Amino acid sequence: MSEIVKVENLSFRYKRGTTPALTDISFGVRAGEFVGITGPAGAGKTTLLSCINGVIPHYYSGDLQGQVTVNGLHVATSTFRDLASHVGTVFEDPDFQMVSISVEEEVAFGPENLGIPPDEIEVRVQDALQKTRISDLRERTISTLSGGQRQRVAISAVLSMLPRVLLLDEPTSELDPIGTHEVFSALRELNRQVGITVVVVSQKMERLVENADRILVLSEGRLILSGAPSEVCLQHDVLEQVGARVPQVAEFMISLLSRLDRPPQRDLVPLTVEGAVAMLRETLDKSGVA
Amino acid sequence: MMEYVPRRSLIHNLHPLTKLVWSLIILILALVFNNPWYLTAAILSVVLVGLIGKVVKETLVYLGAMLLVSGFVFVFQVLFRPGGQVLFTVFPSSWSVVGGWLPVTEGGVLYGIAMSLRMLCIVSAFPVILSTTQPRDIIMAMVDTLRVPYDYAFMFTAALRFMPIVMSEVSTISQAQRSRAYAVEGWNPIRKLKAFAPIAMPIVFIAIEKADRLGLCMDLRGYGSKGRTYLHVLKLRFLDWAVLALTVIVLIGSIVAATQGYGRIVIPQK
Amino acid sequence: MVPIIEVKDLHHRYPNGCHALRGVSVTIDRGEFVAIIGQNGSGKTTFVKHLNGLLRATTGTVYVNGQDVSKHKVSEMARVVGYCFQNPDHQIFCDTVYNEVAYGPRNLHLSQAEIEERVIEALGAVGMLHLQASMPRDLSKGQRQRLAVAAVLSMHPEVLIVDEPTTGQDYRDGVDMLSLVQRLNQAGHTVLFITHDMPMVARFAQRVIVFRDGQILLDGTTREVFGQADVLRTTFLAPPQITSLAQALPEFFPDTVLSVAEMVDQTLAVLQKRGKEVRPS
Repeated sequence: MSEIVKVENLSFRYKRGTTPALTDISFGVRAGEFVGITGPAGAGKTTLLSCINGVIPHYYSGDLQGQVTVNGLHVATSTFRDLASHVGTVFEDPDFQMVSISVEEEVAFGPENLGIPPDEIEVRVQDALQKTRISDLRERTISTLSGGQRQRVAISAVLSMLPRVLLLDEPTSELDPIGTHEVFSALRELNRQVGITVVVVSQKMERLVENADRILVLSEGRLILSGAPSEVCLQHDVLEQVGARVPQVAEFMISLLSRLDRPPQRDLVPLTVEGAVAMLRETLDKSGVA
Repeated sequence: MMEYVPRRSLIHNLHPLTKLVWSLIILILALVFNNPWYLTAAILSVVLVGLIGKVVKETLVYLGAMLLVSGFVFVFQVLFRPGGQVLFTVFPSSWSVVGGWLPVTEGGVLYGIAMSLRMLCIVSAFPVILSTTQPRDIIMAMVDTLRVPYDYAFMFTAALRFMPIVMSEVSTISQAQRSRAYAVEGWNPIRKLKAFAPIAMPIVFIAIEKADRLGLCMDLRGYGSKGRTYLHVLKLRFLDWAVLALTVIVLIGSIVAATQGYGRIVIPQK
Repeated sequence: MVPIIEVKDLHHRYPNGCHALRGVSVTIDRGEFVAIIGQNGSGKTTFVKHLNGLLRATTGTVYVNGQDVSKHKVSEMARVVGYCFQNPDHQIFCDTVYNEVAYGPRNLHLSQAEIEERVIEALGAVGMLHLQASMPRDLSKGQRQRLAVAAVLSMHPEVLIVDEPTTGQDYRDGVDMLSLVQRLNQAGHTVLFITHDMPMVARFAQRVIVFRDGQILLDGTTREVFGQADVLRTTFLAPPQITSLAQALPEFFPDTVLSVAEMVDQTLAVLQKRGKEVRPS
């Protein structure tokens, strides 16, 4: 499978930065993958996303080295307009990333800017709303919606540009538990059913390990861990050291097994409560006196 | 501020310009006639339009609020535009010094009624327009016909969208500072200005930061490119032409009638 | 002993007609460390804003430190109840950290010496004494949050309300913030904190109040509240993963578990009982 996002030896220092924001980062994202990016504040997560969607170098200048390509396009030399139909970005703030009064206007905004014919815009709007299950909100005023609904409108507004890659920078950090659930469900569906490549920056490790195919951990501008969620959780001491959160069920199982003198194993790291229940029951049953 | 009410009605389907022309004609009628019966009929016609537009409740609520203002107009005219027979005086004649002051006259009352109805008539069309027309459509109508560049029209809708959000932030800031015993007391203007900082500084910083973020999001979705298209294109349809024709006929008819003396009454003057 | 917060049958109706609080009654004693949880719109923020007078009761009474809040201005209540808003940028406006923390005491018209003493004390409590001359805008988000706490502390409130200290925060900053608040609680402050983060609640709170649709759904110790997962579920809340894990195997884990360490210990105990070899901790 080809890599839809390729980051090669990426380093970046902001113009007025004293230390590099990113140092020698390399990784690839395959088409259709769901990638989670986590790490403490200041680790460079937002900077990394900015290098993929073109915000760096077009908006923020600095010392950029290395290369980033999206769907074959060289990010540093492509315009926003070119990149818009390949990669879209959803931000943290449910209010200040949208400009329209109604949902329909907002989802149409992107295609209108690109000069798409009105008939096609109509198709795209319907499609985008359907993909995030908010077709019934089409006529609503955005300010009357809940946080979770607003973020799904933001996602639809990006989807109507038909990008193959969706970047999200902490999309649920301002939301309540229901809103967080709505957004992650929408992302999971987009990834599994529609095949959109999803790259999410989030501190909600428990949601990431549940949904992601791969997790990248950044700290102080460097990529320190990269792998399947269970592999990353096995490195829980590294995660704790850099201030990243370890999901409780994973931490529990790893801790338990080490106290039982059993070697840590990838397939003995639960990523959900259900998975942990099954594993724990098995462990307890195996120990029963015959 | 009246808000758009999403419903399906004939009035909702009309082009914003049609509605604007209609309201202009109502305005002219209000100025042409001064007979209270004719003015009331005009107001009722607007309410009828509101009924067709399924926004009659909102229209009546607005007019109800305006009744207070028109009440002031009435009192003002009664007291300061006397004429004809004196009905009674506000201060009874038996009182010393102010006895017999502020006469309430036949002319004054008639004029007061006419002026307050005129005021109500002039503003009556607004709630119907605002509740049946999306702000975006009003602005797009301006872009189409007045050739206002899209950027300016966009600034207007953006302001409409963000005003409530910014007001809400200011309210939160005010609450946060009041929780630190911030209180604006006294009349000292210098002190009042100094008291501005705890509210003004945070909102300015927040606004700048968020505006920056917003600009970025717009650029990322291709804003500013040439050759912009629009999902909904406003077109004048048969219904619009029919309504326009009807209102113009009413206008011409009314002006002719007024010149013949209908709808105009003579109000006794001093 | 008079409770420090006493709310009886509190109702609040917003001007737009929304009935945000529908008969809330609660008593909080001095020195308690309470977490307030619930979905957005459940009334939790509306509730705490009645404690310092930012919102006034439609009906019902609110007594804080023995005083009827309805008879006092917000600026007076500020001496008793300190409210740390979720976004520190909604408060910060001064040119130096020192001035920011001094702002509250200055509004209370205290003497210069008293103000100085309080500022130093507050900055010390949040570990930012060395930054007193810095510009608040130059600080990191976590530092600005602690600055906001210091700015409220310098008013010497009895009660501290902390609104969503971990939302939108880095995990470490969130833990630091709650640890700070915990220290303040141990020093005698009554603390109420609003949050969506269940593991943090399990780790720090002694008591949990759950709001749903303007009413209190549950009110009890952390263990009691998280033990009622089915009730929590009615408002789409879930206890921490580790608690849910134990609750799914009640035959082995009859008690409510609040932390990973507890769960590990209990599991080992179960295994030992069943004859399994266990390495001592």
